[in-house]
Amino acid sequence: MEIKTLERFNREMSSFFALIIINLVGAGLAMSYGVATGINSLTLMINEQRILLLQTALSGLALLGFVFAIRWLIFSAQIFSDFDDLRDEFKNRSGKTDSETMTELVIQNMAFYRDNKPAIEKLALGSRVTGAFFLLLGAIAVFNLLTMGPTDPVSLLMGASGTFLCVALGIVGVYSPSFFKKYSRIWEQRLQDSVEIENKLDAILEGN
Amino acid sequence: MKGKRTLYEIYWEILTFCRNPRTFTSIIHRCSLNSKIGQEHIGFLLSNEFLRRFEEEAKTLHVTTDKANVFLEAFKSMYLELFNKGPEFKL
Repeated sequence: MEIKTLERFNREMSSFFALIIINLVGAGLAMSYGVATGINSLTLMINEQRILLLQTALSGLALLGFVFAIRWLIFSAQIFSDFDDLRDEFKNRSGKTDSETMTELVIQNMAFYRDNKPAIEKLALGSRVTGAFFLLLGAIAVFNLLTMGPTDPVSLLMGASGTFLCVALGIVGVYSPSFFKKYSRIWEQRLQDSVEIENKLDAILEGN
Repeated sequence: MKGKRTLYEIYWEILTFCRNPRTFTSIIHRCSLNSKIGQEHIGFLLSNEFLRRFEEEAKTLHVTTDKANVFLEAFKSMYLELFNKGPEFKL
């Protein structure tokens, strides 16, 4: 039983840690892509010495995407910090497989969820909004590439890579909240179950 | 242990920690409680005879009594069941 619980903890914590890392990397890439796109668009307009409608739209969207990506990064980092502490505790105790240690891990994970519930919700929202922005930016970049893109192969390849990265970031951003929702749903159920347990524990305490 | 915990989770922590005799300061430190809240919780457990207070070498110590075992066992089995019974989080 305890070994099964430990293995389950290991799998659940590794999955959630991977999810946070994906979000951290996604947020970091989104930030840098936002800056790069904004600067590229501005540089192009400076070189052309006129305001280009598409480039202006791209710069605006990139700036907005950058702001959302910062928020996404902050929430990811906040959750990463707390969860990393929890993982350290888990690693320190993973040699012990007794039921008391497992119970303590359940309590710690519940406390983590209670503490970070608002941040997880904000992270899911931030991730989805940023993802949507990058999908929009990607759509504009695809349009740009198809209509007035560079003709030489190197520039075309670079433009296509940037567009691909943008769409990939968008997909990660839009899709990852579903995993956070799954995580929240599972822990919400456990919290609800713990309320029922409290009634039984109360009876034990009062029975003395 | 830190973070938001329920009253029962705190009781469980205090009682498992006090399997070996502990001072008030070590309990509140280990369970991340402030002095006032710690006094309330320890007071409750003392009044229900889940904890026993005694003096040793000029120190006031607290130890978990046999009476607490029912609570500790019930808590442990219910919390482990709670964690194991539902769906598992996987990517």
